[in-house]
Amino acid sequence: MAFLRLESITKRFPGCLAVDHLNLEVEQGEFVVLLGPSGCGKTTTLRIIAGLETQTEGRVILEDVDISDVPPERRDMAMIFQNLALYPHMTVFNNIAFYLQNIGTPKPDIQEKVVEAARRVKIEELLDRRPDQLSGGQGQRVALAKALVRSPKVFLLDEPLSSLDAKLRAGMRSELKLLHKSLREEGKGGRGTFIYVTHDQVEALTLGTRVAIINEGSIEQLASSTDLYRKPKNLFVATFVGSPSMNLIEGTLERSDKEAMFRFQGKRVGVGPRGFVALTRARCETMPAILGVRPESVNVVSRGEPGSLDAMVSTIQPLGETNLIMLLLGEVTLTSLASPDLPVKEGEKISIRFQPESLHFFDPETSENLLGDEL
Amino acid sequence: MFSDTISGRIRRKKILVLVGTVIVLAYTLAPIYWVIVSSFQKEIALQDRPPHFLPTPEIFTTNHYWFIFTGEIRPGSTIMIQSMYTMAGTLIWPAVVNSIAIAVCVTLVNLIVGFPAAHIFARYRFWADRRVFLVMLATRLLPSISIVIPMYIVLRQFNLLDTKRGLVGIYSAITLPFTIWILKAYFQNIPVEFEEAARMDGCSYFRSLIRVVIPLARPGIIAAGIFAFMSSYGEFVFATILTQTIRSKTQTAVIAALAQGMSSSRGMIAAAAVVCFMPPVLLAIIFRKQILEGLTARLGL
Amino acid sequence: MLSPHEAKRYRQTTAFAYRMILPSLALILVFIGYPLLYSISISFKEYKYGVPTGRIIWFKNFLDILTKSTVAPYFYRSLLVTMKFTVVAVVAVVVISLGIALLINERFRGSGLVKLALLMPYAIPGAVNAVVWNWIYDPSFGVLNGLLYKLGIIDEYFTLTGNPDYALWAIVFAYVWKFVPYSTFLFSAGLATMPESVYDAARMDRCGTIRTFVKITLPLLMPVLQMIMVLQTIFALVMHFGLVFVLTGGGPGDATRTLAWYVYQQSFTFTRFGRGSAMAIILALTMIVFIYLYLVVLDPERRLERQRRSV
Repeated sequence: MAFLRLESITKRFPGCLAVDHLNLEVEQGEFVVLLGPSGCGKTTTLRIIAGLETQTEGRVILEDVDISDVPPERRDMAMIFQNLALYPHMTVFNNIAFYLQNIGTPKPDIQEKVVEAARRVKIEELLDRRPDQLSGGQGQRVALAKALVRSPKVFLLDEPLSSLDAKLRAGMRSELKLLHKSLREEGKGGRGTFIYVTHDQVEALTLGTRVAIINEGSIEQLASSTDLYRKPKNLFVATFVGSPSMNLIEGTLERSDKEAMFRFQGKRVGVGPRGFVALTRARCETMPAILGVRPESVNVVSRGEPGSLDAMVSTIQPLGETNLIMLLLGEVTLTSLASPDLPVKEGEKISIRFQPESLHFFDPETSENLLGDEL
Repeated sequence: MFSDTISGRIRRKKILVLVGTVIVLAYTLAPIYWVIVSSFQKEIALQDRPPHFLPTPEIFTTNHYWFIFTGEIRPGSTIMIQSMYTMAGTLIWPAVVNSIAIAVCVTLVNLIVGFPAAHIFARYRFWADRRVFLVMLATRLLPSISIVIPMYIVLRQFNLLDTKRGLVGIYSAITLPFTIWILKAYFQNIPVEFEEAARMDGCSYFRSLIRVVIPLARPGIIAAGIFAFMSSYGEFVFATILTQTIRSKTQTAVIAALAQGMSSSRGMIAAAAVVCFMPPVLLAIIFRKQILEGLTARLGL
Repeated sequence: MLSPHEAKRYRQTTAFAYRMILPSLALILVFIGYPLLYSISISFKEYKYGVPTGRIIWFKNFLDILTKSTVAPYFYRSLLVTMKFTVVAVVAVVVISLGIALLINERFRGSGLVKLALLMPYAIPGAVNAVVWNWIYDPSFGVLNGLLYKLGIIDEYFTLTGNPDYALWAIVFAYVWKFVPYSTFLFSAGLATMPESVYDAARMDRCGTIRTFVKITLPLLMPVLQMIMVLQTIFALVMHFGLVFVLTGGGPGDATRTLAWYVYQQSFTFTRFGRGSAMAIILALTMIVFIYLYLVVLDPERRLERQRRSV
């Protein structure tokens, strides 16, 4: 059985349904990220796991024991809050030691454990300082040390990096990853079971072993980063993950001879075997669909190549390694990522092709990926 | 009793809160309830031991109030009561009127004079502004006793003893610092940009005050006004010492004197107490939101 | 340094500012500043029957108070009574109001009602408060006696304010009743500024309810607590006057003769204005110490700035 399980967790506040029958299974040692836009219920879910909020329905099960009614201090979980929540009137040492003091650990043991935890996150020299004397990054580490010192079964992190600047964030990300790895290897701290909440997809995709995309209180898809990118289950996941986001074109998928074609705004383009699969699964000859293609799969080709479409370059934004090209295809706007060496100019008429292996089709009504399990 | 679970904790907390609320409500309201109930009981009933906690129909009466407002003793009252109603009881209502009149004047003076002062302290920085402000606040905390003697002598010299004007002057001076403090806090919460925009739109200093600052600071003005009113209404030291006749006696003085007369009708005193506390209590009930905001404005919330 | 143009502007603004403040300053100086100074001058003179004899006796009044055998013992006794009263009253007010503030901060359905109820003792004028409690304490028909009798705690009615051992506490109780709401609201505001997440963290850190209060709430509340204690001390030194006036008249004996009351007695009962003024000044000096503590050392303005910024 899974280490931590959420069974049909629902949370209703007066006037809104924050979490909607959410199910989640987490194995020991996993780094699960709850990713989603603001207000989608991810923080609420985290707090329910911690016990700081009580769910309206559903159960929280840890190691096969129902802990839904257990108070937060007994769940053996450590939480790092978005604003750190360090005790402003205590020294760093006392902040870290607080938990141990509360459970009555003898003083010499406290000393030992606190110093060890501090060493792990490299803040040994800061032990005598107070929270208001620390920088953002330093405060972060203190919060981490607080959690580490107690070797909890689960680490809960609520957007811990959101208050740091971009450079610090990147640094902390890799440190967190290393921390997770070492905890797994040592078998300590629930073997490094992390549940992490964020709205930043770069964080989510780089840190998580598995990522749950959450929208309006329920999980849209739970998968590894690569799977989320390459095999999005529905429109929400497809557009949320990936920056710049996926291009979407509304149109009709139809079978013509032995080929699958996509018709939109008076144009037709072959969409290869994937289009075929979609049609076969739906057992139709023709159906309305939304074509999804990521910018890096929109390629500029030589003028007039067979199977290409005519487009006009609208703007070119240099990004350094690549150029972001906005194209006008009739009335449809597409983004394409291309090498800066490509000799195109703004206003120029060019031809483009979609890479057939990277195409997705979504049902306009259900938003589901029509390719289903064959992704 | 309840196991240490989340639902157990919630239950325990609810019970604690309930018990606490009941205790607090009883603590704060019991004396008031008692006075009101006593004021409606016949004098005879008030002399029962133990006393009655509810005015049942046999002992209910409005005679005490009638006396206070009209000076007449209703025929239904017993003879014993007639001797207990001292004429001082008829002075209650005029005294309350005095108190209200004085308090209203004080409030007006406070707002008219204190408003610009508070605004200046809030907006402008100038030499010694902090010190002046502090001195002002300090005067508010000084004991009235310490200045009542010279006040007595001075007022006697200017023939202001036993006048409402004298009291208005003194009370205004006493309440002004706090009014300025509260208004200052409210002004500091209003972004300066509004006034600057008004000046750009052609308003003079005073016009911007009237058209922009006053509407925005309305809750603060109400709060400051209420505090000024209640402070002057309930003031004790000067009211008892500096007044002699009903020309200027406030409710404070009259009811204090009444209570000291050992043979006064206790029902009458109770009724007098109710009449006296009605005005500020009504104000407190009506403007409770502003009062609560004003009290917490000290902490900048 | 300022340019001549800037300096001129500065002078203009300052002049304008002073003009706006002038009426308020004038009122306060005339009605408070002048009497205060006059009070000092009175204390240097000899008064009999409310009229100056014309002799200026400089510090003799003060010396009499502190040393003369017909005055000094009573003076020191009044200091003792004042201290007893102040300490007990302030502690009681602070403890009770903190408790109530914790309660109303729990945001439950009745909290609005409780707040409204708390406004009542605050709104009641001091004189009415005194009269009400006088009625409650009444030795013949008061409800305190009545309740205790009915509950079987006492066998016969007793007098509270006539008993030298109980009189002061009777006054303390009535005083506390009226002054608790004010502190409660101040505490409530202070409690509301506590960051919620710190409490969440404490729960996760396995901190029990009492421990949380002692180790987290109290330390964070310390600035507010200090402010309120000093403020309440300033009030307690003087605001009990009405209660003493109506309930005990300083007695029985001198059980409730606080310094404030003694000033009144000297001045208006014995008509020794000079001596009364001297005592009044001693009282004022004592208060200035606390006022200084409050306004300068504790500095509520700067504190709330700091608190606003840190939250």
